[in-house]
Amino acid sequence: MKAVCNIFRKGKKSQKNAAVRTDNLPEITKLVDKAAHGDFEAFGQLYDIYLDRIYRYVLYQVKDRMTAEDITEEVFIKAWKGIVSCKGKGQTFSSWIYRIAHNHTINTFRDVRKYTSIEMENITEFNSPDLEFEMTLEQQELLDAVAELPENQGQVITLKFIEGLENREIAKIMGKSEGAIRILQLRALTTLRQKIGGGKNGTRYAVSQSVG
Amino acid sequence: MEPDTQLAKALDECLARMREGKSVDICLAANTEMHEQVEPLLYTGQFIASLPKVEPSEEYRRTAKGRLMARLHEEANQAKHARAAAKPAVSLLDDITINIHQLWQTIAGARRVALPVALGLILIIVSTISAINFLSPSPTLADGCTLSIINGTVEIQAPAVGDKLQGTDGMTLNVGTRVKTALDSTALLTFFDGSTLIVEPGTEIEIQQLQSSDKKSVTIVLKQWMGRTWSHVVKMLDKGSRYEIETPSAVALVRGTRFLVDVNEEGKTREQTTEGLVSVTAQGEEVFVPAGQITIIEPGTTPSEPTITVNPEKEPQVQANQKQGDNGINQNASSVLGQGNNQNIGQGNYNPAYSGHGNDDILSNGNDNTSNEVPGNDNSQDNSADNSQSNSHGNDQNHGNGGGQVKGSDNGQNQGSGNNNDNGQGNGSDKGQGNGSDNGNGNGNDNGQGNGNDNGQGNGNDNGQGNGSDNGQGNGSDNGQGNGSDNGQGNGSDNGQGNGSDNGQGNGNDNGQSQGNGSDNGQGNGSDNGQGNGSDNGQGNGSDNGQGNSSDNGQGNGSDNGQGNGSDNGQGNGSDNGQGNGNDNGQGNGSQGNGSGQGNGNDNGNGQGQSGTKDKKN
Repeated sequence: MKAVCNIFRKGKKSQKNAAVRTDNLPEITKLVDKAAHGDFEAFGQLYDIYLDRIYRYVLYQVKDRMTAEDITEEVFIKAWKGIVSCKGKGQTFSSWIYRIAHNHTINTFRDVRKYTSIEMENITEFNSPDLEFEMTLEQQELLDAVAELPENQGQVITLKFIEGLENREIAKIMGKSEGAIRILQLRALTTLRQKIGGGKNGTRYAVSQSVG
Repeated sequence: MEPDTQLAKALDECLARMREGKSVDICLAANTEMHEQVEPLLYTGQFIASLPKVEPSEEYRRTAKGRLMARLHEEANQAKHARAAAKPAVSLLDDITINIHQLWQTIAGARRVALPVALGLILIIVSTISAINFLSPSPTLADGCTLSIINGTVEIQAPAVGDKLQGTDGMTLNVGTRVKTALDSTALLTFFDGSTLIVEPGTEIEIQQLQSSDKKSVTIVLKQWMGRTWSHVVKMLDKGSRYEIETPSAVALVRGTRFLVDVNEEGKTREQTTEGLVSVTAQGEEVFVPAGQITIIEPGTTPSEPTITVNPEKEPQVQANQKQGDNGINQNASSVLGQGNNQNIGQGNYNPAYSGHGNDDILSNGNDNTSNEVPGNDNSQDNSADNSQSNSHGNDQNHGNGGGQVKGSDNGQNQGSGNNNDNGQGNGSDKGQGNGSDNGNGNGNDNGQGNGNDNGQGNGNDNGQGNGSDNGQGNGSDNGQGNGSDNGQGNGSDNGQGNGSDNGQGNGNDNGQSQGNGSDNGQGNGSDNGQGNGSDNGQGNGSDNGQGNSSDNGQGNGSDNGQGNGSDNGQGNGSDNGQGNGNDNGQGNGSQGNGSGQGNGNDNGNGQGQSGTKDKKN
């Protein structure tokens, strides 16, 4: 199994440009309304707030840094073009933009699969040779295992445990019911558990953070 | 409820409690039935949540937002223009209809007008209508690419000429041109979008298509007959864009990546991807080659399954061509013969009239007009209007509000609010409020409020409030409030409030606090260190260290160290060290006594004239 750690960097500078947090809904609603009226600056602020999240979500799906960068950019272009539809609905902007990312990623995969003889989902390496290693071996193994999950399960794990979204939002993004999300979550965690092992006592993993 | 559904629900409830900050044990206590099954899954979930957060690279973070905002503005502008264009098109047609009507009336009224003339006019109008009706965005032929010869010789076969020519550095190559590198030669092609192709020794390629539409869709198609090339393709944001290399046995297609294409004498192609993803097609079958993998295509066969390269070949570092001898971009191999990047990381407009192979980095919110015609670097970083024009090999860095023009072989740095012009062999630097111009062999530096002009062989430096001009062989420096001018062989320095002028062979220095001047119009020096003037118009020196003037118009020196004047108009010296004057109009010296004397010491003959207190000797 190839090391996948090199793309992961600790979030020291996470959302460093984002003055507004994703959970500051009134402010996000304001920015969305302004952007819907053609305010570039407001959209720029939304970009700052969501860049890391969208990029991370896409990267987990495509597993290639350059492709993730391209898709992320296209996601925000699409968001700009369609933001008028979000006017007055700023509270749902988060799931809306994730939904764009979700659809765009799937379409990109579909296009690639149509023309390629390589099964893209079999590429589980995170292709980013120029970034530093900052992960433990266990974290690398876990990440590999997440990358090998079926597409839907991988998306749930990313959105729930990496991005910290609620089931309700995940369901909206993926176009499924909350019950389906719970099942996908259970299956994904069970698969990961089987692959990486570990447990409370004598665990191989040092766990210090809470979920989400 | 299905067992799976029950377990999924129990797990989700526990996860929800943990999200609220409760410990695993508390969460489990509330759900004892499925404790055994849920617990390990909770720990797995917890472990996933502890993974470090992935972030975009710093480079991406730095550039992507600017690029995105530029695209958004472009989209908005295009939409605006499309709306605006729709309206005038109708009114224009109306206008033309009216014009035709009026014209017909005119023709009908003026029966003497010859029919052929009327037909001619109608045809012109019809052509105009056709042009309007059928005007639609169409692909435009983009500018050619630029050839940089890294070393050795390159053979060029232009389509129109047919004969083979020797390629020259900076040459523009158009569609249909064949490029062949000698066995000991390497070249670099830089395309209009900034993509580059390193052409290794013994390689032959042909430029088959270079096309851009509204600067969005980019098409670059090359044919590689044999040899090795390294492509560095900049990201093609438009889906219609393509960068394609056709070989005798395959086609490699990308939209932003780095890769090697190697064609041997039998036409066998080997493609190695170093970054991104490359599509390789042969015999109707396509494979995608990710980074670190290769595919091999024998003539007449399909591409091999991509495999990981054990020892991937490394892209050669393109070294600077020493003959360009610049101080500028030739510091860094990757930017040297530059890869022709135009980056507009701002929200404004930029017009990179780019036909060279340097780097244009524009970080601005305003209007940037970058014309880089030959290898140079243009870096504009401002919020206002920057006009950077590099017509030669130097570096033009414009950090200010003004214009920077490099036409010489060195650097022009404008970090102030004026202009820097380098038209000579030195540098023109403006870091102050004036201009720094180099039109000669030296440097023209403005670090103050005036201008620094070099029109001669020395330097013109302005570090003060006046100007520093070098029009001769020495330097002209202004470090004070006046001007320092060198029009002769020495230096002209102003370190005080007056001027320092050198029009002769010596130096003219103004170091005083008054408005006196130090002028050298002869062979000696003219120095003002006091309140008066020090002038040398003869062979000696004229020094003013006191309150009067000293003049040397003869062969000796004129010194004023007191309150009077010291003049030498003869062969001796005229010194004033007291309150009077010391004049030498003859062959001896005229000295006014030190300190206590108020009279004059005049030598008009052969002797000495010395004046003590109210004494006068001839």
